[in-house]
Amino acid sequence: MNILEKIREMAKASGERIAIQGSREALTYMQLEEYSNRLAAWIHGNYGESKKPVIVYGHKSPYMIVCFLACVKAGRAYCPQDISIPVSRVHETIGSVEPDLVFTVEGELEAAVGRQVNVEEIREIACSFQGAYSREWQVKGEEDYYIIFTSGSTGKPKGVRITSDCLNHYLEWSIGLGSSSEEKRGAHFLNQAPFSFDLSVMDLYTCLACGGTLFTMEKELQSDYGAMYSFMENADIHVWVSTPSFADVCLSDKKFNRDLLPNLGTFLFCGEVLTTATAERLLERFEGARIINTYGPTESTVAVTEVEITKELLNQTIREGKSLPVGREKPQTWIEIWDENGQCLPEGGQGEIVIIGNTVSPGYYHRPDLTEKVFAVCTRNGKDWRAYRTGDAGYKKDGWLYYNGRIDLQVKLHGYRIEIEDIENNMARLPQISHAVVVPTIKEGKVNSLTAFVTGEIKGKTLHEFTREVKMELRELLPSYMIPKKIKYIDEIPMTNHGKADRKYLGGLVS
Amino acid sequence: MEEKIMKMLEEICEDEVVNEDRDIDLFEEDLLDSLGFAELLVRIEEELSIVIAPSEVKREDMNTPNKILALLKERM
Repeated sequence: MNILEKIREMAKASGERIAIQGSREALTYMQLEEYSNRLAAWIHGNYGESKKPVIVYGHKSPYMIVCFLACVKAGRAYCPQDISIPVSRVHETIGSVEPDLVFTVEGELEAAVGRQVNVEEIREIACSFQGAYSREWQVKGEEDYYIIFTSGSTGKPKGVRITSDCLNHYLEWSIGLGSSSEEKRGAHFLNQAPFSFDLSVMDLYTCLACGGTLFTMEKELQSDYGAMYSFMENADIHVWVSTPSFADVCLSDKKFNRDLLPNLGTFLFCGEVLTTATAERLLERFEGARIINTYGPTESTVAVTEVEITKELLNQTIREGKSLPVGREKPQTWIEIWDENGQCLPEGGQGEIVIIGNTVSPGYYHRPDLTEKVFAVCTRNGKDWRAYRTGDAGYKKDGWLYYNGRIDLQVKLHGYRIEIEDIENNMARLPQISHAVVVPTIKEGKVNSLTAFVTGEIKGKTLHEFTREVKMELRELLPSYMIPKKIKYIDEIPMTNHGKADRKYLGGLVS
Repeated sequence: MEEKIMKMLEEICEDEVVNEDRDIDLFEEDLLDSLGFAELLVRIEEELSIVIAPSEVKREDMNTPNKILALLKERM
């Protein structure tokens, strides 16, 4: 698979087909191909051999995709940044990338480094730039294709490098999820996640690889059910890609059923635990649809395991009181369970999930220190492969992988991956806080919300005023999903015998 | 019923403040997000047998404890 060639072929064969349908405008495969070629020629013409990643800032506009493709066609990785990320955090990412080029497709951003190109200029270049474009420039093999920044425990995001090979190997597998790639030809895909979250890679590129149409749903729409359902109905979605949490939001309304989406054939889930309750309700409402549960961290290109949640599997899982499996690994990938000493455990053993294979990232951008800690090279079947220690706990049974939470302080909240220390370190940056400890509340085996226990200066404010102020100031530093729902002011943080914050005790207070 | 609803709200919002200030904006104060709102409607149906389709109501009609109470009393 070569995704750029696929898009080119699609532009030739079905150029008039809509590739990306945004809320206000759409681009056909021909437009996507030509616009991205022109923008690539402009990038290459102005910045020649520079290999620096390009920041692409915006939300759900089809021009986001034009920018992504133009960057890789010009031989550069792109780094997507959604407008929901606080500007200060975007600046931190820009600081570590040091780009010479920043595309602002939507939203307000004043980048301190690099030339900033706004959407009017992008449109102008995409429609009429005259420079010659060459296929020779495009990223290939082990060159970075995209870099996605995720929460880092120090309080600064870290960039996961995904190469051209990683993405193409991933797509060879993802196009067959739930149905064959032929069946997906021309299908309508739902894009719910922002492009800065790698779940979006599953819908965007699987869709483009199959010649489908991607319907990008803006965040604003997702808080207005009436508008959201009419969007979905008009889109006539065939392939659904979202976090299980988003499906839960939709399921709270009875209207979310077969009548609304008569042609919905496949649900693809990733990003967090799929509960039996969600799967059960979906199977009830969408007779005949296939539910595919997948698992994988950003570091191994979106997902590496799959399992269809059939009625039989669901009923058996409920009977046994277990949680749903995440399934079997994709080709050229090995999933192993390791103990603390790096020894591979036999089937059934509980330990850390390790992924070895052809979609594992080469590491974190410009952070050899962090890379060295969790990435390695392993020989399997006489060949060297990259390996990634996920920090996820799990076990294998009958060839299927089961996810069992984390071995460190990372959590998944509504699909978002969060390092608890990232929140704590940012809270400690506020002058009125001296120490913050954040603990998750667990409900039905899933993280439901976060509570912060803080010490500091309350200065005659009421507790409510204090909480409000802290939340308000945190919004400048962290995306909203990382802001603890509850902030509890306490006199001192309880400590363990080892002098560390007693997270277990605090956790007990909130569950 | 009022007590039941307030208890439900307190559990979902995980904060007693909903009882203290019944005109508090639940969305603006980060007490409810779309998932919490969905949970609230599911529980109202399960525990009070009042069906409210989220696509039929606007968030502005259910953004404070008092508005929620008023809406539910109307639908009883």
